[in-house]
Amino acid sequence: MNTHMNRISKVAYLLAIYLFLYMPILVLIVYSFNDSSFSLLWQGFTFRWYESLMQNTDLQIVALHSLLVGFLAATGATGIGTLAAVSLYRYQFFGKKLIHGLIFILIISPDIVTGISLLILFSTLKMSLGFWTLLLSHITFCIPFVTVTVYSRLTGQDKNLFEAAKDLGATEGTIFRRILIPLLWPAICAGWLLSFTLSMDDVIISFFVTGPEFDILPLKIFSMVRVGIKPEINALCSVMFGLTLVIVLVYQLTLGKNNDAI
Amino acid sequence: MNTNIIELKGVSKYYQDHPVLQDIQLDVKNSEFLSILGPSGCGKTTLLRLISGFETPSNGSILMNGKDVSNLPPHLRHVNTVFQSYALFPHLNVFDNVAFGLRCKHLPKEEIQHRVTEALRMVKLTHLVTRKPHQLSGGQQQRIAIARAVVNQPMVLLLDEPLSSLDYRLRKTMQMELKQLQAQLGITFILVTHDQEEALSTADRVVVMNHGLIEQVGTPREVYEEPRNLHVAQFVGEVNIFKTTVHRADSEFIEVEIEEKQFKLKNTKNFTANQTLYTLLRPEDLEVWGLTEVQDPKNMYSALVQQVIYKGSTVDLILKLKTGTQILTTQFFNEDDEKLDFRPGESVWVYWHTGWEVILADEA
Amino acid sequence: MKHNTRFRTFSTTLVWMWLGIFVLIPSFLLFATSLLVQGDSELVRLQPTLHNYFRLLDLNYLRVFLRSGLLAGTCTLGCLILGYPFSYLLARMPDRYKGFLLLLVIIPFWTSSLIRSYAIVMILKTHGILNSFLIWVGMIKVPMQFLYTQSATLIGLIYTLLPLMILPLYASIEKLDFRLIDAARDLGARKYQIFFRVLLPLTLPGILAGCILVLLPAMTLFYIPDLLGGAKTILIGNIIQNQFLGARDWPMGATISVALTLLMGMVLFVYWRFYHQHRHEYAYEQN
Repeated sequence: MNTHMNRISKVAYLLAIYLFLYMPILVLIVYSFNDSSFSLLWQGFTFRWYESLMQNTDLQIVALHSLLVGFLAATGATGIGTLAAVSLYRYQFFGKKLIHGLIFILIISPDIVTGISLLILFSTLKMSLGFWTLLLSHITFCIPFVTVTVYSRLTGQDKNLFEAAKDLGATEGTIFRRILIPLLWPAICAGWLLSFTLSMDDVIISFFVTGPEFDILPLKIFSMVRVGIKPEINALCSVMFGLTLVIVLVYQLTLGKNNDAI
Repeated sequence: MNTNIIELKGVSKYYQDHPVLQDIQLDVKNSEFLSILGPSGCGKTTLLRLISGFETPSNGSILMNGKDVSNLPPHLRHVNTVFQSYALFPHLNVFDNVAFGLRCKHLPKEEIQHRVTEALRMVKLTHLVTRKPHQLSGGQQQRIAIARAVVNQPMVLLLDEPLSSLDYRLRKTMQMELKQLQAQLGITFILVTHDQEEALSTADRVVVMNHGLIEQVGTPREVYEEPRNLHVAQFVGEVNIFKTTVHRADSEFIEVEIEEKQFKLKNTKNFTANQTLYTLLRPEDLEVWGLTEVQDPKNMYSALVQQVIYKGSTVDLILKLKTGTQILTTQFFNEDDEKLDFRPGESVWVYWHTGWEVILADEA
Repeated sequence: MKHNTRFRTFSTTLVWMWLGIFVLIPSFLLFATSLLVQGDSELVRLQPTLHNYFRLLDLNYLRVFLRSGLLAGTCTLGCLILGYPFSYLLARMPDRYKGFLLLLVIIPFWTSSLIRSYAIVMILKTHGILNSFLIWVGMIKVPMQFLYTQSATLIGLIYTLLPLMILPLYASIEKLDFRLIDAARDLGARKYQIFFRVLLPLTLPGILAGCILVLLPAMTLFYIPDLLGGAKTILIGNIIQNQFLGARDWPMGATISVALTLLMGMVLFVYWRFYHQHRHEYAYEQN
């Protein structure tokens, strides 16, 4: 009897927390179908906010900006991050400890500190804020996430593989291309997905380093929300949530087979 | 006067319709060293957990000193367990580990100090009080685990394969120490093991288990020399099993055929004619003689030596009888029979004393 | 052999250059800026001084820091209290459910926190979901003011950061040898004794990691108070943002950032020292 009650309360608690985490988003999605402009009372089911979204060219441009930066930043960060992970794992080089430290600083720095540091940099270099400053910043803050993901997969590999390859006459470049990349592919993909998501969702760093000509989605949403609630925002957020869902599932499937890294 | 400290009456345990223990009847005597012996999966650990209170029986009841404790949680029973993995708290030092149970009961500081020191003295590790578990060797961790359990003065101490991760020599030493400790403390020990040598050398009584059932309960001698069924015979020590046909039987004797030889044996279990039986002979019950040593091999088997296993104090031989059956014999060095120098391929005579055998019925 | 090291040189040079330009130099510049002072016509006056650091000790600043710290601290505590039982129950689930349940935690974790904060706004608004619901059930007659309060910010912060607390907690609890809990029960420990004497000490790394991961964002996620908190609720992040965009006092903003980073560095150092000293206890070498 006692353990039965125990079981129920445990499940109830888990459920409650899950509800807490998901309720707001689910409410958001539900109301994106609400046929009412102002009131939050249910007026009927409709797709019109989604339709309006499709026709909102402003939003489309902004979304495209975000996607573009997302893709490029993810790819750039994955490239550099993978090289960093491999270099740190395999090579000894000047200032190796410093590189370790820099990556560590990137990870633990709050977004705002990273953001203003980069702002100061761009300002000193007299670069105008826009696409390029944004892209460079996004690549930078995504790098450590790729590095950590790839590095942890590297540590699980058999060191003898590289010895064997060297013994057979392979250069470092060959080892990288033909051994490391295939071996690390799941981690590389996972890193890419992670970077893409972080780039798409970033608010704080983008806030400081982008200019008025190049607006991106999170900032657009931010300014829209400050003005007031519009059902189109609900639709937009629902779409973005859907995208996140897909990405997480793909991520789990890629990395899922060798579990640990989150 | 009830001298049974624990009684299990008709205890069964099911995990999702799968029976792990079936209708267990067991009486544990006060102050005895009991060993529960069996292969992996036989249910012995489950039995231990039922006694300690980590599981509740699906059927039946468990009594301690006459009181039904079947549903009593662990901390209310006067039973403590030494876990197979020791389960020492890594964040506490030796003293705090041993004192843990006493502190939970909120005993006064002086008493805790006194009892912990006593317990550590009993396991001869008073000099390691400030060490942490990861700084101790396997054997030392073992002893601390014992001290931690014993310091609570339980009525019964349960040991779940405590020596399985120690090396051979250490295990032998610890077995003797456990025996001495039990005699010193005077409390009941229940040791679960899959090592039959361990069970035989430490226990006052052995419970042999298989597939959730108790096969036999008895002293080490009873279990070894008079196994009740094939499982017990095979699990406890080595044994040669011969299929036996009964040609004639009366109340006193049975005339049987074993490996194409006829014998007249005592009918100890009322066997009848035409019954199929098994005759069991331990390796040490068989005598091996060289061809030249025997004048009259009338009742002996002719055999071929296949393998010689020199073990220092004994020589084991794997022999093949004319009928094709393989048997195992053990010869001890002694002055009367100096020839222990057999070679593979050699022909020998095998002899056994009638009356030394154990006969079991066929468990169809 | 030159041939052999070509890739290696390329790789390390690229990484060095990128991190050097975009991490090392900006860090220096940040620190350098904190030593400067706001200029009149220009952005900064090129005169190094420690003036800004002294300004930090101003009572006004200190009061805001304290309040922000308190808010962040409350958020961290809230996440811990909610998250610990959750992580524990999750870690005790049978393996076949664990993966899926963990996934359900990761999804909100990956969802843009802006979207999630916006969802909270929707719920807490004056004509929002919560009020509509309460009126509908008859608990209140007039909509209550939930938004633009400190509580709203707190809820928003906890809501956003809870997964960040759950994940390291879960990792730490999952690694625990649960036979230790059996041993404690066997020795007579009650539930609360097991928690305080065994569970808590052994999952301390996870707890500390979670708190650090939550505390920092709780002080710097300025858009949450922006959306939910109104004028009175400010985080240190808001102050920094303000300095840069509003007051255009970059040096001051830089100073606060440097101070924050130093503080964080100290906390991390303490954590690292603690973990390093006691690493054997968390090594879980089974025998």
